[in-house]
Amino acid sequence: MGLQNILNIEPGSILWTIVTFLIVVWLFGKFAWKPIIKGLQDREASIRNDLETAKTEREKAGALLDDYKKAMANAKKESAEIIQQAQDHASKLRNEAEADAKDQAHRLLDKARQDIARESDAAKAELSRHVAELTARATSRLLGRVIDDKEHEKLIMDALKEDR
Amino acid sequence: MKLVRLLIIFSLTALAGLAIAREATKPQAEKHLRDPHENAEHGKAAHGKEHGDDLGTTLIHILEHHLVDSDHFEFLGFDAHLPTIKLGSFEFAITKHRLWWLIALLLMGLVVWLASRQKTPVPTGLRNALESLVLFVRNDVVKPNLHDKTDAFMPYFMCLFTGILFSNLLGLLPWGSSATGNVNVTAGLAICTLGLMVGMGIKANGLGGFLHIFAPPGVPGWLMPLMIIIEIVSFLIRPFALTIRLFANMLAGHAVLAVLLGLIVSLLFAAPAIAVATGVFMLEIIVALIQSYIFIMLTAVFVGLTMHPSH
Repeated sequence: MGLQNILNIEPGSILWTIVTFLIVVWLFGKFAWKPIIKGLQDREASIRNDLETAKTEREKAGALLDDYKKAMANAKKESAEIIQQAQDHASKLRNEAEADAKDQAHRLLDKARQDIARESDAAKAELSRHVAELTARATSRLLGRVIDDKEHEKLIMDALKEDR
Repeated sequence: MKLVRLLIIFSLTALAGLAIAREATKPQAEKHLRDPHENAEHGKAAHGKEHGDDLGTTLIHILEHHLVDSDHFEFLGFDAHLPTIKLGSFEFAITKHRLWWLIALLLMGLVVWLASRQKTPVPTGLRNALESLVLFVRNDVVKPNLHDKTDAFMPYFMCLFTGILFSNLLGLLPWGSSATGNVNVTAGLAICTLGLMVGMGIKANGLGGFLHIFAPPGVPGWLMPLMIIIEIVSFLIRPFALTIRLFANMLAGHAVLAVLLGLIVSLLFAAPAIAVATGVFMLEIIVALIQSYIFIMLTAVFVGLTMHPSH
C-alpha cells in the first residue's frame, strides 16, 4: 500500500466504522454517558429546586418576621396600656384610701372633741351642783338652820343662773 | 543556570530522538528485505533504498509506514500481522486503522464508564472533567441547534466527540495511530451524520417537508431545476466536507510530524527538527481537540438545519 492509496475508498472500513460506532453509541451512550448526563441534569434540577425552595422559604420567613414584629408591637402597646391602667387604678385607690383615712381621722377627732365637750359639760354641771350643795351646806351651817335641800338648791341654782 | 540545564535536556532529547529515528528508519528496510511475504510496494521501496539511500525515498517510506492503513499492528516494539476473518465468501481484514478505531472507542467507553460509576453527589476528578465536557457540548453545541431534542441527542454527541477525540489523540502516542487520519473512518462518521440529517429531517417535517428543502419556495419556475440540483449538492457536500476536514487535518499533522522527525539524518539536524516537531506536536494536541469539536459542532448545525429549514 503506497501513499497514492491514501484516498482509496474501502467500503469495508466505512461499514466497520459505522457499525462499531453505532454499537458504541448504543452501549456506552446508555451505560456510560447516560448516567453522567442524567446525574448532571438531576443535580441541576435539584439545585434549581433548592434555590426556589430557599426563595419561597425566605419569603415565608420574611412574612413571619413581619407578623412577629407586628405582634410584638401590639403586645408592647397593650402592655403599656395595661401598665398605665394599673398605675391609674393604683393612684385612684391610693387617693381614695388617703381620703378615707383623712375622713376617718376627722370623724374620730370630732367625736373625741364632742366627747370631751360633753364630759367637760357633765363635769362642770357636776361641779356646779357639788359647789351648790357645798354652798348650801355651808350656808345652812352659817345660818344655823337647815333649809330644805330642795328649796335651797333651787335658790342657789337661781342665784347661779342670775350670776351667769 | 536555567539555560544550561535547558540546553543539556535539549541535547539529550535530541540524541534520543536521533537514536529513535535511526531505529525507526533503518531496520524497516532490513525487515522488509528479510520478510519473504512482502508485497510489491514494500519491495519497491526497499529496492529504491538499495539503489540510492536518498532522503526522499526514506521519507516516503516513513510516511507510508505512518499514514497508510496496513495489516501490521505495532506496539512497544511488538509487531503482529493482523488476521483476516473469513466467513464463506465474506472476507473482513482487520487492519491497523480499523483496530485503532475500535481501541479508541473502547478506551473512551472504559474511561467514561469508570467515571460514571462514581456515586457521590458532588463529582470529583474524572467525572468532574467529563461533566464539564458534557456541559460544554450541551450548552454550546447541541442546544443552540437542536433545542428541545437536546437531551435525546446528548449521548450520541458525547460518544461522537470523545470517540473522535480519543482517536485523534491516540495518533500522538508512540506507536499509536489515528484512525481518524483514514478517510474511510471519517467517511463512516460523516455517513452517520448524513443519516441523522435525513432521518431527523423526515421525522421533524415529514417526507414532504424534508424534500421541500431541496425546492425552496419563492424561486421562479425556470430556475427550479437548477435550484434543486444546487440544493442537493449543497446537502450532500456537507458530510463530504466533514469527511475531508477531519481526515485531512489528522493526516497533515501526522505527515508533518513524520517528515520533521524523518529529516533527522545527523546530530546536526536533530536539534532543530525535534524543536520544531515538539511545537508541531503541541499544535497537534490543539488540532485534535478543535477538530473533534468542529465535527460535532457541524453535525449539530447540519442536523438542526434539516430539522428547522426555515432559516
